[in-house]
Amino acid sequence: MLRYILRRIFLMIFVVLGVSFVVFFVINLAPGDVLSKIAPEDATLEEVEALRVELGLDRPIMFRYLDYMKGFVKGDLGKSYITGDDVFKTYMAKLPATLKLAFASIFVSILISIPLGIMAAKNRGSWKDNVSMVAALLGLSMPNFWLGLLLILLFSLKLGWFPTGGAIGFKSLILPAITVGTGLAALLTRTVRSSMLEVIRQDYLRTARAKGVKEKIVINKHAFKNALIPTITIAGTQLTRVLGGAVITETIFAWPGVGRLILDAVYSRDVTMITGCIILKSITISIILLIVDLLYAAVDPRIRAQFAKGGK
Amino acid sequence: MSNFIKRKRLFLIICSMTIMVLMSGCGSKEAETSQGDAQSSSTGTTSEAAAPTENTKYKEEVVINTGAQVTTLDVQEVSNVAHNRVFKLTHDTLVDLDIDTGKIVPKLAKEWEWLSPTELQLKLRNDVFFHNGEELKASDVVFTFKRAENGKASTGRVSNFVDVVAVDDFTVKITLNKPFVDLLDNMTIPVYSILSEKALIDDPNMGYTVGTGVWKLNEFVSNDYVSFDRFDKYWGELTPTQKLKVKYVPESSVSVISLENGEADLCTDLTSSDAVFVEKNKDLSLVEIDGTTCQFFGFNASKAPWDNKLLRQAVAHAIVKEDIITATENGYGKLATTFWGNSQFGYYDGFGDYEYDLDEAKRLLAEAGYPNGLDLEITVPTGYRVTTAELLQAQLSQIGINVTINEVDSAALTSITNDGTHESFVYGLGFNTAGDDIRRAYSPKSTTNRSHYANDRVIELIDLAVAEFDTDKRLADYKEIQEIAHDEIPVIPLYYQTLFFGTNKNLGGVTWNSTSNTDFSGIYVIEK
Repeated sequence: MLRYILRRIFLMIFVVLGVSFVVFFVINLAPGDVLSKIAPEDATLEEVEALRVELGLDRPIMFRYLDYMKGFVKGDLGKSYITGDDVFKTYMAKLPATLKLAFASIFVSILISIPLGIMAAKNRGSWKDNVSMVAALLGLSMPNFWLGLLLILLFSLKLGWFPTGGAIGFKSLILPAITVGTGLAALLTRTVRSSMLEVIRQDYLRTARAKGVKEKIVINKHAFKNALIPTITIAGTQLTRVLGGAVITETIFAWPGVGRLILDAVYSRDVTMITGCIILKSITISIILLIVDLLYAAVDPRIRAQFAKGGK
Repeated sequence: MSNFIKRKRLFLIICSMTIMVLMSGCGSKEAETSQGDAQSSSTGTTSEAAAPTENTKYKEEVVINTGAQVTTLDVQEVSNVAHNRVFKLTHDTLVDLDIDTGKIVPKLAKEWEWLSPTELQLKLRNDVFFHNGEELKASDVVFTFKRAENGKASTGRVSNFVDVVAVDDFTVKITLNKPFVDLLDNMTIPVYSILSEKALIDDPNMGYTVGTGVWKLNEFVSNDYVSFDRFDKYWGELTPTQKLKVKYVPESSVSVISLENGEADLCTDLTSSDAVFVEKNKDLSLVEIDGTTCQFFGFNASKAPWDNKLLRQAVAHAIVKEDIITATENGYGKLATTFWGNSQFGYYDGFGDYEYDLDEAKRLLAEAGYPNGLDLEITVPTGYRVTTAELLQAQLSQIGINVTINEVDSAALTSITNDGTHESFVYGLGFNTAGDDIRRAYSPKSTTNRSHYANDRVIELIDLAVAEFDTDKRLADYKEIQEIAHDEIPVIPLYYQTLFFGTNKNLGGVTWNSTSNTDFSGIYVIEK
């Protein structure tokens, strides 16, 4: 197990190198640079060029990349060209908001999808199954910005239950979490349903029923536990997606997370901020994926056995 | 089979109900808000809620939603509309601009005198304190302008300063390298705000947040919000509001909803479509300001074939600006006939506009050597200006100009236009009130002269005007510049954009500024 974890951590170095290289070059090769945002409006061309030299932006990309990576190796992700703030500190300041939203969304998604998926599988072909699948389809089809605005209209404007945005207190988390969670629940519901259907047909469940085990226990304990692996895989993948991809929801709800930070940095071509954030994001995602893999072992003795043999 | 049909019907019913619920969510807002009365204010006025009485209760905390990010509180690092509004809360300049008269009025300096065309002496008030309790002294002014030499936004602003000296504790003398009539006008911009020397020595990292303004910084979360407490030792009139928060809300429609449900008291920079919701709500007021940002269609005048003025004139004859205003801004906006700020010194619209005349346009095209038309690429930043480009595409097709639209983000547009690889572009330029601000539009050295227009006579006139203390002569110089620009038309001015603010109807104390630097420092909301 330990060898496996160490190997994954070793591979993470190459992931970070690859990600930083691609991001740094893509952003630098895109038209426009950060000077368009930091040079004053009344600056002359000479003043802009002087600023370019001062910031070292006149040097070849490869040299700038190597300089950046030298800093990275020493634990320095640089400073934002726009705010002058330390990239690592800025990212860490925004990360809690993103993590809160990500876990709350996954929680909402699990809350919706597991009962709905189990119900659909138990009642395959019935109206309950069809309603679940229509609900899943609706969740999948609704764009986040649309659902977010509808939720704001209903719960903030009409009912006044929740604030329209910001990250002040638990109440402000609910609407963004529902917005993201609904979309995630759609796919998860289908996954739970299909993996439950596979398990439900297995002989050991028939045996359990024949032995007089209550249906509730058969489904919730014996069947669901074995249907969990694909569910964990999807939930883990979704978590990584939310960690970097809730940009639209963060924008609508003025949620001060990492997604909005990166988006704003892209618009202003803040290369150090973008590269630093993406590196940190890829490390975060790699760690989450590793945790997900380790969770497999926790729920499936077969995988545990593989780890014990030093396999995988 | 019958079970199947029943199930199918059930699905249809459920689907219909879901759609109806969602639709009712959309529709009800319209129905509810349509009963309200439109209330609007115009340029340059101070908004006043119902007259306060002795028993009037004021909201303790006022919240302003802004659509643009605030990334720093250092007045010398950034100078743009979003930041300047915040800087005006915490800091004061030496002089101010009277929005209604356009005259320079005292602020931290109670009087001033031009000792010579290059020497300005200012007398400071002696009752001003910084947020750290220190008294404002002439040495703070000297320190501020010395520090300005290294600020990203301020360095160019003080490049013509030869010397700044403290004559005594409350007198400052600024010496320039050449006459500059617009100095006082420029000094109303927050980038010239006065900083506390002691605060910056004590805390070089955050000391710049200490100013002499009505509002003292409480908390700053970059790209999220800035909150302030009232500074009770402020030298001027105090607002009854105790706390103020400026929140970054990137989505304009959500900003309006938060205004409607009372979370916010004021929303800045609304789109014309969101402004409609504010106008229809009886609990809100819509403030419309004639902005000074001129939206325009520019050519790369240094690159063939658009270096040919006949071609540019042909295009000018084929454009219907009213249609562009209608399509892009829902009809809001003031038609522009000269590329000059409409509240800027020297503004002259007496040359009129190019008449819409397709025959004349075709004749000019033929005279320029393109009787069968030609291709033209318009570079445009993503957003509402794309609509303008599409309208131009349709209008110019009538004279045989085949337009392709190159949509990019604003950072890319800046880079493309600076490199001069573009043929034409749609963009906007916000003008200040100072006449010399036109240098940004026409000087070949300027980064905002995106047309790469160069005319020696225009530069000569700009230089003459800024050194000229005789107002009539300056006006004549600026008129001649506009005459030349009208003929050579490197830029076709389209319209001045209207600014929209949504407010709680009980909000007052705001000075709306047509140069976009609206002053919120006296803001208050009367409690119902």
